[in-house]
Amino acid sequence: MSNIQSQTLSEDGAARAEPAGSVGISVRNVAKQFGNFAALGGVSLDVQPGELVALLGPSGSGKTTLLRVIAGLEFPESGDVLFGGRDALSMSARERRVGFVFQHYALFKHMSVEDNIGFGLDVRPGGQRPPKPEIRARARALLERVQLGGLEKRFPAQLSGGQRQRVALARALAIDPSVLLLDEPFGALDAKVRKELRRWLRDLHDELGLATIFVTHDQEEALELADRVVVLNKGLIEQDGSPQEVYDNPKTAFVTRFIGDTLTLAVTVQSGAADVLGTVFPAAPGTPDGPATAFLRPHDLHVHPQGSVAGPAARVLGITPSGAALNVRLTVGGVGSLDAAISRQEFARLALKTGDAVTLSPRHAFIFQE
Amino acid sequence: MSNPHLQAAPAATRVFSGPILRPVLIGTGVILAAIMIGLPVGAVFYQGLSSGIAAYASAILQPDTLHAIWLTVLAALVVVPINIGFGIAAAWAITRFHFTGKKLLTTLIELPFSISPIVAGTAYLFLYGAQGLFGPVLEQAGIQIMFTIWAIFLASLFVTSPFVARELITVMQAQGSEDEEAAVILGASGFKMFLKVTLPKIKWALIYGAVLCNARVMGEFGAVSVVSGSVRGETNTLPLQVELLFQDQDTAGAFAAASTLTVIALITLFIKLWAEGRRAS
Repeated sequence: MSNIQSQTLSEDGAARAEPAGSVGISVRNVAKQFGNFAALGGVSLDVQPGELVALLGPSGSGKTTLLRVIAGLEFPESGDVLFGGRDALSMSARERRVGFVFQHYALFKHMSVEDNIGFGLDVRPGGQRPPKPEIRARARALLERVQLGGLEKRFPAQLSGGQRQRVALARALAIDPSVLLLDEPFGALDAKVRKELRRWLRDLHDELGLATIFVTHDQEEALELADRVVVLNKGLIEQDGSPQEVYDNPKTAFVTRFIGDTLTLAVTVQSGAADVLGTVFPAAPGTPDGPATAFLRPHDLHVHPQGSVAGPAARVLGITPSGAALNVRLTVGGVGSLDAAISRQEFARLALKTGDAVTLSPRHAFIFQE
Repeated sequence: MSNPHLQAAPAATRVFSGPILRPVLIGTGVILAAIMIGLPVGAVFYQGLSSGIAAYASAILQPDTLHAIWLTVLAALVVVPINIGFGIAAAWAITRFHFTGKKLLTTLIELPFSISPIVAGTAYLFLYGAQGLFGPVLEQAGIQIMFTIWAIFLASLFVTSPFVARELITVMQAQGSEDEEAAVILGASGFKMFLKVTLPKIKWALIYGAVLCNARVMGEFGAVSVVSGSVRGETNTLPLQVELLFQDQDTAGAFAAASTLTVIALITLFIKLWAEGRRAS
């Protein structure tokens, strides 16, 4: 508890978390049951100070439970949680000094923004509580820091979603946390605000230098924002790696499916490889011979003028714009319909129309036995 | 709360608002309320004041009635705070923890609502009366519960125990516990969390429940009449006093005492309306 007071106001009045206070998080074999449901089935994870890690998974995968175990809001049946080598499980949530941002922010509706941010300082035991003016100054400095200066007298109901989220973050930072945990930090925001806040949060994280974990079910958000992505499924870690690794080299069928759009095809593996639309690709190591599933990213399915390359023939069913690329819906004889993503230049070059006959060639495929 | 679109729409275009149905239903409601509620309440004041203000005042100021008023207020002062404590504890346990028997506890809390108060009184008689379960033990220890103010407190506690708890359970269930979790993570002790986060959120529901509880304590007749013994000037609460005066053919006195109860009820009603409005906002 002694280092709680270590934070001071710097000359310019801005509150700064001292990097010395930030610690790494170690999770060792943590298991958590809810009745008969295994929310976490033995999860291990290390997060270094200054690292931003995304816990990615569908609902029910255990990602929020893991975050709550780290925060001290849930206690696991077995396993260890360490903060900088210190046993965190022997500390209550109150003692852990965790900065936590709730999905719906959990701002205190009856308190002004300033009182919300100052709450963590105001509830300290008598001897450690800073005087009121100092709490107010700290709250205002933090509010400046999250770019909401001047809103200190507002109430949460008078703020937009994005502003509330930043107030929640300022409140979490007020206690000079040693680690930062965010539960679906952008979940309740609309798409545009979400993108802006992502970049802003990344910058703030880099300034703070804390070990930060955020939970998300949005793979795009995880890939864009995090240094490392940890994919969870049914209470277990499926893969733990850099965004690039997870995207380019998914280890399991689940990760392949979850991390991006996929086209799936039934294939047959023979001596570690399978024919996918006329091209042979290696299957995942250890895949036994027999039926398996091939996964293609839509942009890995190339579309050519009919007969220009060897490959299966297809017909264009429809074309819809999708951001920088176009979705081309194709029907392939004996396979069914597939969606290829092609760039606008490529589209212009091919001069595709609905009903055109084309030839396909896959550039890459992931093959797993499901 | 109100939707401007709904208000702006012509009444006749709404469902169930035909040209006949509407005035008939409103008229029926108003007339029945006047006959069933307004008339009797008016009669109490009319009868109480029929012999003039001086007679009314002296009827209220007779020592037995004054004592009954005091005893009723005392019962409320004792019972309401205890039930506030019980209500908070029960609501907290039911809405924040998972435990076996939770459903049973929730149902048990509601029981006094559905049970006749006279049964409650009789039950206490079975427990603490001279021939009751604990009667011999209590007698040996020289403790008298039945026919004392303690019996009045106990019976009132039983009858009014659901009021605060029920209000709070509804509100706290809807609110969830995220705010409390946030408070704890920010370093608040259990007490500070309750004081600064939970209490402000449940304040109006708490006041509302307490007001209802208070009204019931002051008006309780059945359970109290069994256990109090109705000793004049000693264990007679205001509702019992009204009945006694009535049996004594002291109509003016009975109505004067009854009007006091009615005034208390009206005050309660206004506080309740006010708390209700605040709770809703």
